[in-house]
Amino acid sequence: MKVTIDWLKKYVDFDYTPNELAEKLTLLGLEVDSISEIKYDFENVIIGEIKSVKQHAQKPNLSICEVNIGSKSLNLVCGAPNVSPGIKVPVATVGARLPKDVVIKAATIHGIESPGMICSEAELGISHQSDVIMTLTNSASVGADLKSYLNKGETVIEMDITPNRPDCLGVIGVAREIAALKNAKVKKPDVDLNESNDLSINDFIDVEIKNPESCPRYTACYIQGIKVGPSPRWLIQKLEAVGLRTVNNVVDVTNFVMMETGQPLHAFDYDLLADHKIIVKHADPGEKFITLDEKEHKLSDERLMICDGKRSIALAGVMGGLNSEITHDTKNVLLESALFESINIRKTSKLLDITTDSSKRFERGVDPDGLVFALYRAALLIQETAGGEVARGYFDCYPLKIEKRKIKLSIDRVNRLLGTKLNIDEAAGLLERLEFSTKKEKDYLLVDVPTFRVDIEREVDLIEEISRLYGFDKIDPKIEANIPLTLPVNMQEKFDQKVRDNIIRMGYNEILTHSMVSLDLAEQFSVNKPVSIKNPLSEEMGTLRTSIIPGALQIIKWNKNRKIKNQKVFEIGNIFYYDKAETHRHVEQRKVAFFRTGQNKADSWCEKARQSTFYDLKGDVISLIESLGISKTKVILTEVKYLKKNQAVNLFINNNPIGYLGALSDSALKIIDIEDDVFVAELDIDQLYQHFSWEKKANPVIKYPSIKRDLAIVLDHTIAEALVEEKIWEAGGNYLQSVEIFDVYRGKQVAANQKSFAFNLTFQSNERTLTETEVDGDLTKILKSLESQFNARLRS
Amino acid sequence: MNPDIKEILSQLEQLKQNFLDEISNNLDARNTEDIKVKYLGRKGKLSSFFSLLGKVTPENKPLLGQELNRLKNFLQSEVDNLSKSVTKKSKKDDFFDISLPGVPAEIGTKHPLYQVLDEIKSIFTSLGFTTETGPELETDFYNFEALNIPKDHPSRDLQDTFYITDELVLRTHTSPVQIRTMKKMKPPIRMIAPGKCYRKDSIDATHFPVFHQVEGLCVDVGVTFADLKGIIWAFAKRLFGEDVKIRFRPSFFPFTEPSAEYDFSCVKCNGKGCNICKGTGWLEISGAGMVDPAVFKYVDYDSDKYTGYAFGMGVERIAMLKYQVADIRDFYENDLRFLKQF
Ligand SMILES: [Zn+2]
Repeated sequence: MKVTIDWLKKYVDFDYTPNELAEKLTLLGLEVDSISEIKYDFENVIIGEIKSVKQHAQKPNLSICEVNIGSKSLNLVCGAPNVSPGIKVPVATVGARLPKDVVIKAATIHGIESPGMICSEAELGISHQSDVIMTLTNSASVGADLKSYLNKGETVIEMDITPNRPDCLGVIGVAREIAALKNAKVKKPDVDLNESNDLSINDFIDVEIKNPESCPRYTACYIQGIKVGPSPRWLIQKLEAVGLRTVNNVVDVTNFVMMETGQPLHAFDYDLLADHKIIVKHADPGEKFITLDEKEHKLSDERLMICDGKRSIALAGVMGGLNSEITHDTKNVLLESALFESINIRKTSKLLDITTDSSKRFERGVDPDGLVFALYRAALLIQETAGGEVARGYFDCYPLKIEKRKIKLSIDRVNRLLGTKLNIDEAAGLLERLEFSTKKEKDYLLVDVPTFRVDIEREVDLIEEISRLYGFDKIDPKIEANIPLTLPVNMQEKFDQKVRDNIIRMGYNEILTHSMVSLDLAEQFSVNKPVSIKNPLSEEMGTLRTSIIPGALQIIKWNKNRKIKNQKVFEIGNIFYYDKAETHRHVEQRKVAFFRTGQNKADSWCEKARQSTFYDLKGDVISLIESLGISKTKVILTEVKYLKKNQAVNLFINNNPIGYLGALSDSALKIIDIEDDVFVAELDIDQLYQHFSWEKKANPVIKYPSIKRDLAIVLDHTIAEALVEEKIWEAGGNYLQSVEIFDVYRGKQVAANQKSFAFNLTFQSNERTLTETEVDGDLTKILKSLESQFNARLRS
Repeated sequence: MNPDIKEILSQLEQLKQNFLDEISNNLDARNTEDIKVKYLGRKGKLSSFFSLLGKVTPENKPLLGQELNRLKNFLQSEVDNLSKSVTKKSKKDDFFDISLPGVPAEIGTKHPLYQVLDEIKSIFTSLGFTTETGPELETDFYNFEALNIPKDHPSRDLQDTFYITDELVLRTHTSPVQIRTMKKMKPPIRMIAPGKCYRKDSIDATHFPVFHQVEGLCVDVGVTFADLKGIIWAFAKRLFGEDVKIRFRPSFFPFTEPSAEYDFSCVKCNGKGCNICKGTGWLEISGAGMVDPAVFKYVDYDSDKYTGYAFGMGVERIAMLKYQVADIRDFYENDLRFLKQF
């Protein structure tokens, strides 16, 4: 919502600077977005008077005007229809500068020399009026600079009006706020209309409301014998300053009054109304209607229409119809000032995708008692600018009377909510300044809400009004003395943090991606059915991620393209998909995903790094899990469509699936367009949490010495290490403390289909020092078991 | 005229500094002798200063003498130490180049937004708030209806929403977690709800369709607007330091009444006005207010008995202020060179 300071000053006296005003409005809740000054972007344009007008010999639509510019007379060629002797006009002589750095040169137009031009407002950048030249009032002094004639640049204040304050979508409403601040009254503009003695409204129109639930009140007046034409300078200036385009004097007046009062108005060409009737009713289902913007709409029976005796003539409260608009030929006008129900208007506006200044106001709510004032105000101004005779009285169809709201306000409530110590008179005083009327009863107030405040329905709304005018800055911050410290802590959230911290300790960088990917990526990286967004920003962000992987891979690629080869990144976040069993039900799961690519570490001068492998990532994942105090993990080879066939495993804890890890397949890398190997793991955090315990118990460190033995065996190369290790534990006896593989060998020193494993075994008792003989015995048992299980033999 | 004693002393200090620089770079035995000659030799740098002893005023003479001897002794002992250590190193196979860079340890980083979020969380934890979470895919009821944002109401326009179905949305704020928490438990409630939110904003330097919000809620008997101001005041000071001021101004949110926007005094210019605060001296942080009785009705709280306040804040906004990041997209680009700065 834009207003100019000069416009505001018509209704309330103040002498704030623009910046002061902006701050005051902002602190009242009318947040000021910008303050700007209208500046004229032309130089050396002077005021001239047309002495005579001749038609161009060859081009009848051009005129040759003799213009007195004070120092001399010029013959200027002009194409505008409104040149006539005696009018005063702006003249850009040779050398004058117009907006967009147009410099006027002498020109020869169809054989006639023209040392300058007569300007339209559009050419001067003052307004969008381009089809006529600008005309100045008689008082303009010939030869003077046009800038001295025009008002000094107006200051425009743009505010962000919250949806609850439709009353401030009119300049008077904003003025009211300033008046409240200054404890003054607004000066309402003149509506002292010259009504006709001969014509009476009832002779011209009949209004019937068929759906009062959608239109509780409809008022109208009639003006006869007007002359449609360009608006006067002051009107154009006001409208253009607040961002509205000038159309013609009648339409401009309706727009001006809407900006002034907040009440949208509509003007119909009276002679186009069949039967001289207005019927307000819902559309016929499937009805087609062409609005002013020449667009055709197909309507359902929920849409509210203004109709004449035969057809629809306006989409109520949103936009007029092409079939009844004001044209240059219009002689008689029916002016509408109505109240349409907000939700209906909003639905219409949303459904047909038309937002107008009118629909914006109706969907927020207009003042039911402000209709007639706006009607009279517009009639008065139409009469002033377009002439005509206003029929006596107005038509008022008001089937659903809206009662003034009365609210009981307890002063105790006020202080209990705000933490203030206001007394009842202070509260009443603040409300009165905002045009509420109050009546004191013991410890409460009976408050009458002015009808323009459609947002005030409850006691708490009044408390807000009091606090707003009282000033939030007068309420002192209070620091509570008693903070309850026994509220339950969200442990799951705390676990998240622990997981995050532990991964960072392993040298991973946390990334954070938005959770939206293309449908294609969502499908490629999951077996589940993705959840798509109905109204996405773009196709690339049209679907919720089914896995953290595709989004993160795009980040990895981004960094690779910036020459960062070695990457260790992770992300914790939610993924989404539709449940397999109940397909309409969605699932949201919290995952942690790890990614490694490039070398296992950066090269340094003393050590060349190697490429990362499956085992690096597996080590990271198992280290994380163990750092959380969870053991009994197990991996099982699996198939995942985007992982390499022999490097994809599911991860289990206590035989419950937790997630998977592996190497991305070549085809998956191709989708993202990455060349190097990428190793990924994705675990379910909530599942992980199931196996986690916050309780920790210290185990005493064994104080007896340990004995270490190496065991190297040769066995068939297809036997998995984990199986061998399991058997070692089974056969190893009570003192076996740890089994660590330190060598895996295939090559010349063993047979072709054989390999060798070398383990380091530690034996220890927590009761006594073990003897070498005891340990040798256990070792023999282990070897025997491996020999029988795997046909393994001791490597010599 | 006598030379200025202050000037001489400062030259001596400079000489000492030059000497120290030189020996710290000296890794070669051959240079040790050169350094000794250069500083302590008969025509060395120090000897020229001794000639000044006769030229200063008599009262300054003892002072200068004392300083010169002290420096001479210092240089002598340093040179001795140096030649000892270099002699040791110069046995060829014993040379150890301590100047080579160490092998760097690999240290991971937390995403800057989560670093800020953690800071916010820890401040509120210390103020007695618990942390609650909820789903990102929310029902229309929790995201809108229960927060007094009915369908077909203009207040829906305040948030451009991503819809999955008519009844399921990507949450536009973490306020639904308030509702979920209030439905689960009775007052007193002091909670914050941090998390990812989504709004259908076109992407530019200050807008991204995904962002993080922390929503706070406190409900109990006797909670007032003054308490709300107190908590925001305490938070502002913990986050941006003792000097920060707060400002509340009226606004509108369907789920609070009265509603306010709160601002912090500009952390860059201290309220004088600069490009970050667009000359106003204030930084808009977010919205707050007293819980609307309509919201209490949805969760069956007695609004005659309980009052409460709620507030929100954008993590990105605060992170941008704290780290002086001008473009919100930097956080989601995840350039490792950017992330590793934090
Ligand atoms: Zn600033």
